[in-house]
Amino acid sequence: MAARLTANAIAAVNGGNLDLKPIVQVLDLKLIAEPQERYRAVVSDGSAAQQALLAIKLTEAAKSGASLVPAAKLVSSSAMNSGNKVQNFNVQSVYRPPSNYKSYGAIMKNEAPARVIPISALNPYQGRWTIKARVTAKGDIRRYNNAKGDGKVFSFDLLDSDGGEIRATCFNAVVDRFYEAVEVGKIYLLSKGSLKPAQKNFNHLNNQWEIFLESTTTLECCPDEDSSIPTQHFNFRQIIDIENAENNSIIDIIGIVESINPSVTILRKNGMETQRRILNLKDVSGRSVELTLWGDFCNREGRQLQEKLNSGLFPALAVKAGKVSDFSGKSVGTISSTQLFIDPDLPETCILREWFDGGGKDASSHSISKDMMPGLALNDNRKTMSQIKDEGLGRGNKPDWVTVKATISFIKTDNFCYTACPLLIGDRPCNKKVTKLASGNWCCDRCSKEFEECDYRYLLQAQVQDHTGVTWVTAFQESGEEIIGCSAKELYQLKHQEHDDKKFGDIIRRCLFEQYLFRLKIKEEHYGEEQRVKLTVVKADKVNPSMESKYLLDLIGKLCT
Amino acid sequence: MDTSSPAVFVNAEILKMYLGRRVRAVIQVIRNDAGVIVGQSTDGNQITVKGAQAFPPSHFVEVIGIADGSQSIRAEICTDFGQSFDMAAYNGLCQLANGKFKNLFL
Repeated sequence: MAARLTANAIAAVNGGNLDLKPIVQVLDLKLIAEPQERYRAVVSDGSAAQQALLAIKLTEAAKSGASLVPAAKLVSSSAMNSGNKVQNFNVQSVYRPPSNYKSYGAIMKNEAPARVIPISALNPYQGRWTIKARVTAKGDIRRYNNAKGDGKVFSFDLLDSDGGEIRATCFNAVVDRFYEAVEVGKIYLLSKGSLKPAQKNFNHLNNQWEIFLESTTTLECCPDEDSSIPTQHFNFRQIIDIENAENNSIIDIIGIVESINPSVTILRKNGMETQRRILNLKDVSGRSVELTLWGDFCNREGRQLQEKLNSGLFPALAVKAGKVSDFSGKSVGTISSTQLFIDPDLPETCILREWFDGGGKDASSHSISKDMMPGLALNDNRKTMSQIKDEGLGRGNKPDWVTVKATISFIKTDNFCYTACPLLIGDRPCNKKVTKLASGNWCCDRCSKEFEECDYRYLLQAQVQDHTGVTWVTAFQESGEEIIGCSAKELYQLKHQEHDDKKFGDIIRRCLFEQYLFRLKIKEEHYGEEQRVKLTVVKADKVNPSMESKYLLDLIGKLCT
Repeated sequence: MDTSSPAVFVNAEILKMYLGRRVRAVIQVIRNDAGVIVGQSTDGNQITVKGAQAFPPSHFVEVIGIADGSQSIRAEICTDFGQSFDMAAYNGLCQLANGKFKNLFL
């Protein structure tokens, strides 16, 4: 049934009637670009016409309804007298009558109600489609410059009631249409976009397609809440599984935040500065992992977490789309598309909470983010020197960790340590090599600071051998101290300041021909064009005869069967 | 080095197999009785050592001598191994040395 225009509406509203909700017809629409995009319309009540300003929220509807201008009707809920000659109506909502199919079969647009299909059914060969989904993530507008000139791009992620996810991307002019309209958490009906293969570099959603929005795309906000559509979709992995995850893979995790370190400023490779914060997450698998926050996360979620921890709370943190890194053991870092949720309302949060409060808090947990392997694994992977070479250890993607029982046959005494920066970056000492200035002070490039006293850290090159062969290994600070038995600083002073060569020689000789159990990290590294297998001593323990006997008896037993 | 009569690594059980032969065993001293040491063998059973000086109780002593009884050794050489010794490892050695790998030892 067609609505009727409210007679003399314009005169009434101009006369001061603010309660009238007249129905007027739109005669003309004009886009103006004020501070924001808005539409100006000319409305008519059948006898008089007036200029009106459409409310911002109607900009969308106006755009999509632009082709229906003659038939659309407007309901005005308030009018403002701006004092200008032009009276301004603030039009608040659009009333669209149901479609009217004329019997004489004039060519009409197919206005059949949209068929909502699951996101998982979307593909480029699908005909008309409409999806009903909630926005789970909204990206920032990114500007770029390529051969075709300047451009901008904006993406947002959608999740529907079946759990299907897909990313929607717009470029240039289309960005302007949708950027304001899209809000995280709201549900929309989206239709008419082209489906193209997802860009896996940026898009980590579980969908091979991505929707590209165009000028004909329609995006309609659904004001009614639909609880069948979840607010977020997670695919949580346990921290213990991260140990086996591939470097650079994208995962979701959830855990209790045990501790958080302050932000530090990091100089990136491209010369830009950014913030970094490291926190520790612990979960029911009995493992903990380091989570690195980058950029805005440091001040936003980072600060919130800090405040909670300061008040004695241990918040739960869910991470969506974190990136696995194998730089130091295994750790997780945020990327641009990462989302963090503090104490999210999820069943996993309750499980974590119960576990933590019921004893998980005090339970010891192994960190998978430290280079040191837990003591339990010390005897696990026993190899001989010849096996390291024969089996080509260290040549794979990940470093190999082995235990070798060997004897030190030689220690290079020329450069057994280096001068290191003692300043703290967050919770870790900088340790970068420092240079001596003419003034006698030391200078660190990374920290950009000068100081009188520097640290001395071991950089031992030693030759070790067993009954099968010989090889060179490098031992850093901790393992260096285990081998030499005194600090690098003491040894340095002994040699270079006190010039006590005899004592120095004694200390070094004492280490030789001692049998050790070395825990080695083996990794092939590129030195210019060469590939060399580098062995680093992570731990050096003197052989405990009792434990070693046990190990050997066990080994012999296995050999016999 | 005189290898004509190697001493067999024994514990109380294996001692019985080598009566009259030269053996060596580590025992933990239980008590001293006028020239005789009563000790515990690495398999938990008792061994008596004749003709040896006294050693402090609970010390570990290696005895090399002739097996002259199902549970006794006539000592030739005794050495004090101190207060810490891995009995289980030694016992494992005794079993291997008299079992599969006997030919490596005798």
